[in-house]
Amino acid sequence: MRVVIGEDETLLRQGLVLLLEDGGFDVVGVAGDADTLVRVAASTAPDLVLTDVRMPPGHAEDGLHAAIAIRAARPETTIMVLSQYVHRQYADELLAARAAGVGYLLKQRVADVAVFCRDIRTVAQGGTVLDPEVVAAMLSRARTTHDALAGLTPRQTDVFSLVAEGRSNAAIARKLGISTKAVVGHVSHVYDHLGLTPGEDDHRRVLAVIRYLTP
Amino acid sequence: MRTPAVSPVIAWSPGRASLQLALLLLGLAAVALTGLEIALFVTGNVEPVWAVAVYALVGLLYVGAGLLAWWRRPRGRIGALLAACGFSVLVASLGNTSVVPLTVAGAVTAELPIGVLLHLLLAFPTGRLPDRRSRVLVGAGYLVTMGLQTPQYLFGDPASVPGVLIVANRPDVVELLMTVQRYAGFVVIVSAALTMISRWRGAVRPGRRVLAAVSAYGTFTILFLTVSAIIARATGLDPLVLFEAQMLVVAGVPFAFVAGVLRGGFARTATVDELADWLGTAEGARPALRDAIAATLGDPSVELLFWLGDQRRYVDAAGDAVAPPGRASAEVDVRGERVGAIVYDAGLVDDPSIAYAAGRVVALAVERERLTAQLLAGRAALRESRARIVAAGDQERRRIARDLHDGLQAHLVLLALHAGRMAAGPDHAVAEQATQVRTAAELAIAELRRLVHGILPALLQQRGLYAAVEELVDRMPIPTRLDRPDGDPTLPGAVESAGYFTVAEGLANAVKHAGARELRVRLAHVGGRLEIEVRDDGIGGASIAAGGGLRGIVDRVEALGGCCRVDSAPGAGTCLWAELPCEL
Repeated sequence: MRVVIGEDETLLRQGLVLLLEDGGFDVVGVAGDADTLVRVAASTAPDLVLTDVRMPPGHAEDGLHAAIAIRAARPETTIMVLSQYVHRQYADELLAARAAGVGYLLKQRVADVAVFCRDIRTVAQGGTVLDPEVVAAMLSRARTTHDALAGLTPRQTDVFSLVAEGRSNAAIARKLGISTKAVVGHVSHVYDHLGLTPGEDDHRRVLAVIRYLTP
Repeated sequence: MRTPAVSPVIAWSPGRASLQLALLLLGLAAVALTGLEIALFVTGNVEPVWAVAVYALVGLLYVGAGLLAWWRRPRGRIGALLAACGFSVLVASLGNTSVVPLTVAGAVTAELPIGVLLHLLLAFPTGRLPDRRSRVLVGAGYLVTMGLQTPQYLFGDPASVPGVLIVANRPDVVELLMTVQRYAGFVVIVSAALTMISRWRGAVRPGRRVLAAVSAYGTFTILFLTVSAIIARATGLDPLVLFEAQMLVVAGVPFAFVAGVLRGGFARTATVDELADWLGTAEGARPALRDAIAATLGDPSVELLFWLGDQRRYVDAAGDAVAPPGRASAEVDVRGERVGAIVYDAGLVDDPSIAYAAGRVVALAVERERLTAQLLAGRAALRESRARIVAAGDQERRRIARDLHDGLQAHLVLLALHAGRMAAGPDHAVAEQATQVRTAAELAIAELRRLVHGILPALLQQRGLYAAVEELVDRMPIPTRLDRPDGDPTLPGAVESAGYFTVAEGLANAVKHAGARELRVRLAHVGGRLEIEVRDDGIGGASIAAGGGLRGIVDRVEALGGCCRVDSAPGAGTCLWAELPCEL
């Protein structure tokens, strides 16, 4: 799997390269600023672009804009955006065009190497991975606009949040201390409740996020 | 007689009454003279009688306008000059009668009105000739109109001028000297016009614009009189047509003056005595000190400045700093100490001693207003310094937040990353310890993130107040409605921070103390002010006096020139309302 990394801190960039190579990814390009990142992504056509939000030249939201631009230029590119803070507004913008193949995590999540590598894979395969913090903010807002969400039980809401975070049924089961079978039951209740038509599970997960969490 | 419509400063005084009487008599004399002349024209079979009558009536018009200006501005001489111009026309008009001694007077003064008109224009608007150049021009004007006129009645044709003064019939001398008179007159008038233009160029201050317009019309008039005569002579125009055109233009001059008087160009001047009367008036009833001085000097543009000795600068009545006087000014002293200055327009106030006299009369009043201005200036300085402190504090917050974000946070993430990679390694014992390090680093990062967020939220820096408040609302555990304007405008940093912390404090109080079920946050930008409202349906009873966070919010908002209020009757919910000045 071909990955391009955008990160301005040299040591951190090197760390990310090592981490991903250990995880079996093929790092085909790196960039220390947003403009270079867009250029490298265009020339190497990677499967996934991993980038920090705060990057030169503006030291503001440059990485975010670069990610959105890369995806606009080549929609099949999946993106994983990291940041020291996560904001619902940024998530909305990232998911606006297409929710499939988008990840948005707090930067510190890279430290849990196994989970992080799995998240990268989920995104590269067209899934959606959102940081628990941003899911909480999105859910809180979505509950005021979608009555269907307000009608979920607390347990169903927990399961739905974990789905939005990109967790697999097994991971959700581990996290909530219940059986995988019970998780499957909750998930299908959530789908029914939200009126999502039966279909491929991964696809429905993404749909649930787009329909109910973004404005 | 009271004239409140003009200025409340002006009251009746005996001197003014006698001036009025004199002006009235002068007016009646002019009317009588005009009437007499018209009667003589009719009985003397002068042809065409309407034309000579019109000429005399124009003279009367000048006298009337002159007396009006004289009354409105008794200290100035312009009214007297205008009236003199009218009388000169009336005297010159005598030349149109057929009564011999009168026709002699008329012949001698035939061209005098143009000389007086020139004098009038160059002395405008004070009535005094301001410089040597204008004095020379006026002298030259009288020389041309009176001196060079002599050949006409000394060497002229007895058929056309009264014979009594003729010493010889020399048409050649007459012709020569008349040509000299025409060209000399032309030169004088063009020079005068140029003088007028340069004098009034840039006269854009209110109060001078009207005067400049009046002056421009006068300049046009004398130019027209000269040029039209030359053109008529060259083209053989019917003299009667020329006369009609000239009268039309000349008759406009008094109207222009009267218009100037009524439009305020000639503010009715009061005397310094009247200013003293003003001081005696009950304070609540009297108009502002500046207005009283303006009326006394007859200059609507008068400014009154107050001197702050310890700071060595001038301020206005509101205590705002002003530049030192750039135009004519009279210092106001109390016991030898400067307390202020009266700044006036030297083009309107001809005599500086009047401004000084006015300053002496009102010195104590100026001193008292100065103390008020000083207090206001002090308050303004204090407000500015508080705003600067808040802004500096805010800037410092931004710097600290940025440093922590770019420095410490980044290092901690790197630490966690390395620990994470070690934890993923094959050595089980190392992995376990590395996981502990990683977890500790993650906790530190989370802690630091909360800390930095408290100092200054990242979104407030990146996207401004509205987005940051949206994020606050997103994270509320209680249903919260947000009304905000569209877009993410860039507001001044200190205003954004103050606005953000106001909302944050309001929301935190509602969650912690109010027991609210529902919250509303409203942000609006109205007329250069940012309005913030946080309202809950809780138990109420909150107050700024109770101290804590609200007190800090009020201080912050007020330091930026805004205001803050808490309405929180027990049982009626709480509304925190703040308003901050900020231009978009």
